[in-house]
Amino acid sequence: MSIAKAISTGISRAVGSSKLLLWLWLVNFAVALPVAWVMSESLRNSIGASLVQEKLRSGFDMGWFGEFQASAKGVETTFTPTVLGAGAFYNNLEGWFGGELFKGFPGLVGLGILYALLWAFMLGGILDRFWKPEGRFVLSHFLGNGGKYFFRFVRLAVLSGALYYVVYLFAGWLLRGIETWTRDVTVEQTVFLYVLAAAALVVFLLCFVNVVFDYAKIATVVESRRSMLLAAIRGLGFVLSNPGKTFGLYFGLGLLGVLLLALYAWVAPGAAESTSVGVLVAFAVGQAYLMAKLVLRLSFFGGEMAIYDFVAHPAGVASSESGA
Amino acid sequence: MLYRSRTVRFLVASFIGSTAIAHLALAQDAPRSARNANYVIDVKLDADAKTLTGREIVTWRNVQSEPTSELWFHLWWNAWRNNRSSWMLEDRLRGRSDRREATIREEDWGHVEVGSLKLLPGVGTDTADLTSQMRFVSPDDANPDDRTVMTVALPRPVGPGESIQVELAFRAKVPRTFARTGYRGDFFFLAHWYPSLGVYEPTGWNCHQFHAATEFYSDFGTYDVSMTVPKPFVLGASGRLVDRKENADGSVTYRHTEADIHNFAWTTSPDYVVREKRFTAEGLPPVDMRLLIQPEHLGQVDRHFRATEAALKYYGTWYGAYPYGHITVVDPAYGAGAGGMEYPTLFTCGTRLFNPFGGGSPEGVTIHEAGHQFWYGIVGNNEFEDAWIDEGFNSFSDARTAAVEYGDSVLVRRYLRLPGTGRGTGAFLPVLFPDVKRDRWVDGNGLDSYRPSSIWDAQVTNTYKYYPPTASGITYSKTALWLSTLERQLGWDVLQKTMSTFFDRWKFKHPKPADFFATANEVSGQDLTRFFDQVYRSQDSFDYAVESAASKPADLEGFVEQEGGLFYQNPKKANGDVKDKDKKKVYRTEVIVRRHGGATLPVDVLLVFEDGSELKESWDGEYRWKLFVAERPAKLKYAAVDPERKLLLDLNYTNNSRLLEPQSALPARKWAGKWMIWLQDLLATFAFFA
Repeated sequence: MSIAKAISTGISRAVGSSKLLLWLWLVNFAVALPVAWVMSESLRNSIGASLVQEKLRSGFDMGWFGEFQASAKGVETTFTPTVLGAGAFYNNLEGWFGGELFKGFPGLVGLGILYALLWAFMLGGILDRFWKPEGRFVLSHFLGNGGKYFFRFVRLAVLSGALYYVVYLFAGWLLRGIETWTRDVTVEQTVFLYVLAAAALVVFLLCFVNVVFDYAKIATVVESRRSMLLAAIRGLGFVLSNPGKTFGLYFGLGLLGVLLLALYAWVAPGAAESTSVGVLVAFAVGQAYLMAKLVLRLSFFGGEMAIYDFVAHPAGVASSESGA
Repeated sequence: MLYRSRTVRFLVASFIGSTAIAHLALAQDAPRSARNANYVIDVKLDADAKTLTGREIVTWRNVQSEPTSELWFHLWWNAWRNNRSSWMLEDRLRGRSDRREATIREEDWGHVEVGSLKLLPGVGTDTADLTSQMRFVSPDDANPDDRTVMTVALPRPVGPGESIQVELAFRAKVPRTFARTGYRGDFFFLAHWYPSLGVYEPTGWNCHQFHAATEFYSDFGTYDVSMTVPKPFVLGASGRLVDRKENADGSVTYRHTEADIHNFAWTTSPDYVVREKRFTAEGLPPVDMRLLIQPEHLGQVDRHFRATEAALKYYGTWYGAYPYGHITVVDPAYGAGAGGMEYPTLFTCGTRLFNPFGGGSPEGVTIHEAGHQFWYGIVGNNEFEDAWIDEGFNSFSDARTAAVEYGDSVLVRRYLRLPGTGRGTGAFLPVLFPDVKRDRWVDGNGLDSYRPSSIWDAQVTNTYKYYPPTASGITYSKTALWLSTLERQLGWDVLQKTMSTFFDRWKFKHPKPADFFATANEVSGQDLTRFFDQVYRSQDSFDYAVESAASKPADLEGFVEQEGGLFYQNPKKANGDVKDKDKKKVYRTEVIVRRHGGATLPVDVLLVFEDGSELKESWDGEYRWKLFVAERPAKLKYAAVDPERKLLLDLNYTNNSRLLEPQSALPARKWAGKWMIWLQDLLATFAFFA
């Protein structure tokens, strides 16, 4: 199976799972909504009956923001106008990369961990769906598979989490090292290239762990594995024995992700919408972007499943492809 | 031995220098300043050992009416001799030194040692070695470990009008950059590097220790400085280049001279690229601009020149012309931490590899530091005690200049950060948010910086005594905000005339706060004592608010006097009388305004009605609250206290207005919706790791 074929298979499987996508998006939306409601009320309280609402409706007001920030508590401290458009993605990336995420509001980290557990629960259903794509999406079946694999995937998450943490520590060491090694460098370009290379290395290591554990999860579902350590080893072995295909797919879809981000950065509404319809449309564009990211994430699993199936069970994939 | 072996050469150089000064003095119509602290310095940089070896002859004239029998010198670099200096202690309070000290290596510390100090022969004096008379003192905090101030007892007092000449030999270890001074690699920025005199005032010597949150104070004079550096190094310095000499040992000596300045800084690096341009503007003298820029910033040359020109033009037009005819603009090396600092006829700005136009950098810092040529360079207030004069006036002026030249800037956030990065480094990749504007009045003047500082120190307190973490909010932002308040209350014409009059009266002198207040009263024709009491002498903050607003039909209910006695009138029981129906409805509006803050100033209160009519009243702002009542044929739409935002020091402007029928749900949902997309994306990132 070529990389292009794996990518197209992944995308078609993801796009073809519209109900699954809708369900996953709903879960993401539902988890975020109550917190966003709290934020909305905080903003509303801060704006009150003030004339500043005119400015915030048609744009932004840094003067008001300074006041809001000065008295912000809890989740309010995470509000910033840089969430506009692609800034939301950059902020998250920076939050992880620079560790700011863990220095800020701990409640959000807790929510993120809960969501990760929820995702681990849903992964069983997602992968089972891609393993047997013929039938229609049935929620009870989906949830049943989630329950079936949940504790295995939590164990896998603990294993992968330990490795991610090692990568995180390595990233910190590397970046501090760059600062030390370049303490007499007077050319920013040089330091920037070092940092870029370090970031690329860290991203590669994160992706490596991610791709290994993606295949570990696939092996768990496809081969009904119960030992997650052996599943992880299986995932590692599979990636190392098929580096071209596995990384080709991974970085091919990753490139699509970058293009998606660029597209969103281009089309994402700014702060100018001032009517209810405008606000709704802007929100819908954001949700469309998140949905597209979800499609992409499922495309990873769909493509990886296709590759795994093709390499490990060539006959099976032929049947499943013909079935699809 | 080292010092003695160089004496002859130095005396020759001194002679040449003295001649040059004489020539310089002759070349000018008249001294602009008292020129009572004059320096001839010969210094050599060892770029590998990171040391300076120098000699200086200081000629000082007592311009006060009292004699003095000692000299006081600043030895600035001893602030970084070890971690016990007052500078380091205060920097730690600012939360900086702890981080910094963790990475300081032995070679990073700096210091300056005076090897010898001699009194040179003059009228009534013989040569005398005063080395043994040198003492370290700590006049501000009695810190025994601080060696940034040195006194020297003289064999006989220097009387009013008398001059004295001393020769010092010094050796300094260049620090890795502290306070914009030092080295990184082969980049050197050398400021406050030589032993410099304090200022002798009617109350005695004003020579404070080096503090983390304050800068400098020196008398004006002439400088003749010869700097020897390795040949490949490009050099920029205060003053004008008058001689360049290649030495047998492969080094080059650059000689710069200037008159009527009070400090001298220089920089050298093999990497600088030099660009030059002449500033011209109608009604102002031309200025030769020399830009020393890093090769990787060559694409930003025009931006540096434009910002410098904007400062020279607008400050020159508003306050008074830049008189020196030349200026050196320095773009320091990456990570050097030397950016954003001013010295006479030379300043550092500082930019980044990626710095898109519109975000206010490097334009803002360039205008600010160029602007310091006027407020600091020319009007030489005491920065230890009243730093708000130059820093505040300049912050106000740079924000005004940037607004006139460029308009509003937009919000920028930089991404991809190295952990623990210091000044001049930070994240690499900027992202502009064009929909989020930063205006001059609130953002440019730094209200967000002032807000947390407001309760700490009154501005009247000597700057060096400010609580270090909040010093800049009081020094820079508060002043800029109250000057902007004055601009909005008095009008720009009046404020501009006030500031230009103050500039003209105090150029090449050392003004005190009272001098500005007197000028402001005189030029404005108003007694501004209350204003300055509130903004300068008090640390109270301003916060006016509309506490409540209501507008209801102005029906009369209760007993009213009519023919025959008191009758009860109840509008709820209208009898359908035609006359009542035709009667035009009248609304009674009641608005309570309130003062939350401790500080008081008069403010306007505006009531806007639904028919578009307005009612504006003045409130002296003294008492804690006031009720405003109006009966109008229309309901109130909104009420606002200080509707034109004249009082820019008001810490919470959101509560200054109140709509009767607010629509806050839409903007709140709009921004919560955008934030929610960020949160959903964050959750998806967590899922990535699951």
